[in-house]
Amino acid sequence: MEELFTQSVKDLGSMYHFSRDELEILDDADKAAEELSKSEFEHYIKREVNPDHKKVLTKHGIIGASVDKRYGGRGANPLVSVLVKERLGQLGMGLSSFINVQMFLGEMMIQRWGTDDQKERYLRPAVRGEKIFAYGLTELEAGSDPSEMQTTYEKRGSRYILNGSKYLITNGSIADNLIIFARSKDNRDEKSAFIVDSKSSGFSIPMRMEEKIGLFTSDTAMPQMDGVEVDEADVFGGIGNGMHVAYSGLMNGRMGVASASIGVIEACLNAVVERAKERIQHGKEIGKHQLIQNHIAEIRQNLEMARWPVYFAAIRKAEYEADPSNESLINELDLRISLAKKIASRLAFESADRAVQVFGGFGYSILSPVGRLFCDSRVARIYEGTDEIQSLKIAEGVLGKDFKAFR
Amino acid sequence: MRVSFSGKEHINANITDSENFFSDTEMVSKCIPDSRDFSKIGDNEFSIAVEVGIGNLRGTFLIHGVFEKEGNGLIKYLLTGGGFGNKVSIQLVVRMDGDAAATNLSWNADFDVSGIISGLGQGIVRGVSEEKISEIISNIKAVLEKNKQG
Repeated sequence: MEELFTQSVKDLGSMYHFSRDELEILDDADKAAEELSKSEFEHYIKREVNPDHKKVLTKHGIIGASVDKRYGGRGANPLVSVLVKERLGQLGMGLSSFINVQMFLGEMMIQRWGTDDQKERYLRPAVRGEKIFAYGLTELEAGSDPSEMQTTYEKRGSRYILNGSKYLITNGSIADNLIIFARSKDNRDEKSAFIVDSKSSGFSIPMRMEEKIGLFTSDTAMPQMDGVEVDEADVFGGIGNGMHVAYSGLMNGRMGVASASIGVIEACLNAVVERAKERIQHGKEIGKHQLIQNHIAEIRQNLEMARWPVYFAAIRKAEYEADPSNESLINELDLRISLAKKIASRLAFESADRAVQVFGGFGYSILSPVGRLFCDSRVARIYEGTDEIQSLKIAEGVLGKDFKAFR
Repeated sequence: MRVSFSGKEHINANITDSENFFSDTEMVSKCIPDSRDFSKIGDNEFSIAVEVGIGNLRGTFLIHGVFEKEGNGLIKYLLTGGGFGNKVSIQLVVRMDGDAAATNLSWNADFDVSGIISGLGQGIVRGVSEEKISEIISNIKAVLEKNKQG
């Protein structure tokens, strides 16, 4: 297994007993990352979506690793899921975005909120790599405040009719099914979620966002719904329960971003160590220059500072999943996840910035591993809740609910 | 950047035919994918142009090769050259033993790469180099086994 990832497993192993099955999942994540590394690079520099994500992650049993064994998954708990994401994050945030949405915002949400019928129709096929998911919450005018969404639904007989468009949706144009959030046409305070088939009449992708500054191997699209019909059986999480569902999804998503950010820092560290030992300037390896050593030391510190809040949040998440009605646990988890996401994503970007500096001119190219990590990691401070939203949530966690900055 | 790897191959071909094949630089060059302009400089020297690349990062390496037959089934190729902002030096050591029915081949390749390609990172360079060498070895195996049948 990759060295820094092995170290993470070893460090956690001193306080958590990994079962044989769990170690197998981690080994498979390592194999999947290894197998994807070349194609991820090739597609990145061509600035195109990597079609191998689904195939390779399915082959190694990673695409549904977190799903309960009852539905064909491997039952990876939050800590093991975080480690899987950490290893995949070493390849950059493109692969990470794909799996984050597929696993944490798709599969895990269906497992949490789906009906038995939905689990049969969507979850089991997803574990087999037969269904790709997207999470349609964000809109042009509803980013940090998703409750301002303009997409509407209205009931006609046993069906719901959806109209509106979603914005910057990961996997948006490659998804078989999208979890779409909308407000009632009759009551703007009533929000609900629906599982929408991308082959439905009235569903279209008028634009794919290809002009990003990174994340090239991940699909980003703006799905549009013009009178899309959804059967009652595909109401997701219950009518009127949309925001509750949405926010629980964001917690999953934030954990995923935080985990991948650890992987980004590890990849930065690997790249600068290799570079520092090979590149010679002023008659010696640049790793022998003290200012380069400072960058390496800072990146190593960042790794240490990033990973423990994420692991700790994962441990709390496992406790919460075992006791979901525990109100104080959910509040603490919310705080822990925001801390993990904000700390890890900022440190990932800072590490990538330092790594570019160590590489010098070549670092300012997406041909270099650090150039790609730099471009990719910036988004980690934005998607699934900006730094600013995380700060507000952290302050609320410290001050109490009465001090909530937004409603 | 230095990348090393090794491999083994069982070839259904006479050991003498295998040794002769590996000693013929022109025959070996035909097994190098995306290569052209082979030119024999002397008994043990040659030059060749090889297109290499990953994704849309592609270009041509002009390679100068020296071949040494050391006896006891040991053959060495030293390939040096470069192109599009890169330099490369490859030492390929091939060991053969076998009999009239089959050849057991083991090989060791040391790549020393500098320039843009080395900046891609060891993982990428290793993957691509390994793929190229495996392709060459399997092409050689295919030709030798076909010659035996023919």
